Amino acid sequence: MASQSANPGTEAAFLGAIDAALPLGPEAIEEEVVLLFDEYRVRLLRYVLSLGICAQDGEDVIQEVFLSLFRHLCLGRSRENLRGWIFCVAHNLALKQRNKNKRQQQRAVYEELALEKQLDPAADPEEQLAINERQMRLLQVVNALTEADRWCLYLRAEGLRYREIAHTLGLSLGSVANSLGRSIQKLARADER
Amino acid sequence: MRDDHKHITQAELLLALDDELSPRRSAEVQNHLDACDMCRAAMGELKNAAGDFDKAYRDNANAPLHSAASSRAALQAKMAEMRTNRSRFAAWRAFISGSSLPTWTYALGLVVLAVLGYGLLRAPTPTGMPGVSDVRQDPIIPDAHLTPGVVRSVSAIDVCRPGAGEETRPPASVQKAVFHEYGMDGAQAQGYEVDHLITPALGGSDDIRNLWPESYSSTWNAHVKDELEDRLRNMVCGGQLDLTTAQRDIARNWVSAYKKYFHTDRPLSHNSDFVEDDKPPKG
Repeated sequence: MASQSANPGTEAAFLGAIDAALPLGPEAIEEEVVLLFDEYRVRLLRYVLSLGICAQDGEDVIQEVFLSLFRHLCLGRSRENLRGWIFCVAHNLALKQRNKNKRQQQRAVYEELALEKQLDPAADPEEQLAINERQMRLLQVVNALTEADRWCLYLRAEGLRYREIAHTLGLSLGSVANSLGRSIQKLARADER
Repeated sequence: MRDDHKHITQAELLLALDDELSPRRSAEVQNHLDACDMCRAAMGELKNAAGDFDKAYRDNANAPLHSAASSRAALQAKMAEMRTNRSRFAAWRAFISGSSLPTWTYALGLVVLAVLGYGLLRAPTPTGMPGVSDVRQDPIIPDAHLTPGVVRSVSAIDVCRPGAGEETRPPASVQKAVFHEYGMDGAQAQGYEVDHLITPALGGSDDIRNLWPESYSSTWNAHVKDELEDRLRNMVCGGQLDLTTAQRDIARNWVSAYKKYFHTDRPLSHNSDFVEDDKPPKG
């Protein structure tokens, strides 16, 4: 219980706590995390699902990612390359979940969904067919890539810079550039097959 | 030195496409592309392949299972829970680490507390029922460990906007939690305002560590503190006081801040309608 009389020990702890709280309280961090959640949720979900986990697991992974981010920021840890950090945590949690579930067939489901979702009744049927065939060829090329090459492609499609992809996957910048160069050249040659 | 007449490799074309080259090299590649049909065509193929894959990737993703709103609400609830748990932990850690007393004093303190507690439990209350007093003494100044004060990330410009930081009553569940942490579960809630230590009008947050049960009936009561809050905000918005100083002074000891900014040892007369003499502890 505090009283009006000053207590030097309590006062010092009190001022320390105030100084710590003043720059950015947990509530401000919470607001920041919610903003980042709104910005990245769909992209992260898309990415973790592409790694082969089901939608419910994906939702759980995303929740855990942003709770980890909240803890990370509350502890005053580095804000450098935050987007890379977010995708890295999501990547690791998704792979952990995938290994836990042993649901390797999810990627096959993802591949099958490709053609189902392309059917747009408003589009010209011939044009639609051509798009479907091309997407099928591209997916065949992607499925023949190594897993790490596929991850690089997915992360690039999510708009990450090479250094962010490198951070997410624990690769060097050169490895990311080589991987993407190789993969996209293969995609460009898909029509020649 | 690079040979500007040599064709650009596909790997470098992709780096250029993804804006991953240095500005200087990017300009060189662009100059080459302007002049070289072959490299421009190769660049176009890479761009189409990459763009088509990006589209296929995005189109084929499963739709989110839950709405953004429900997922966001779930996240916010979990963060609020973590925040509450964290503040309890931090308060204990600050208490333990902030003291320089030797360990044996804690043991002695525990023994004294145990003896006092036993005495209180044995002593009859005014109603003749055994037990401890229902309500602790009114906390004129909040407990520094429970309520150190927390602010939002705002500037003086933000708090001085008309209507900014209007105080809202915390939800009933939060008010209950505040009474509980102050050991005042049995208190008459209408006799207190669960008040912000640092008012939202000065950038204070709704975090439980910025809330405490403030009496309406003691000399230094909630209405008196409202006067101080108005004074400080006027001074901040009038450029006479910086926001951080105002936050720090009101959080450190709001009664001292009142005396300092109103140049008085007692609440001013125009507050006397609210003021009663100091009352003995309830219970």
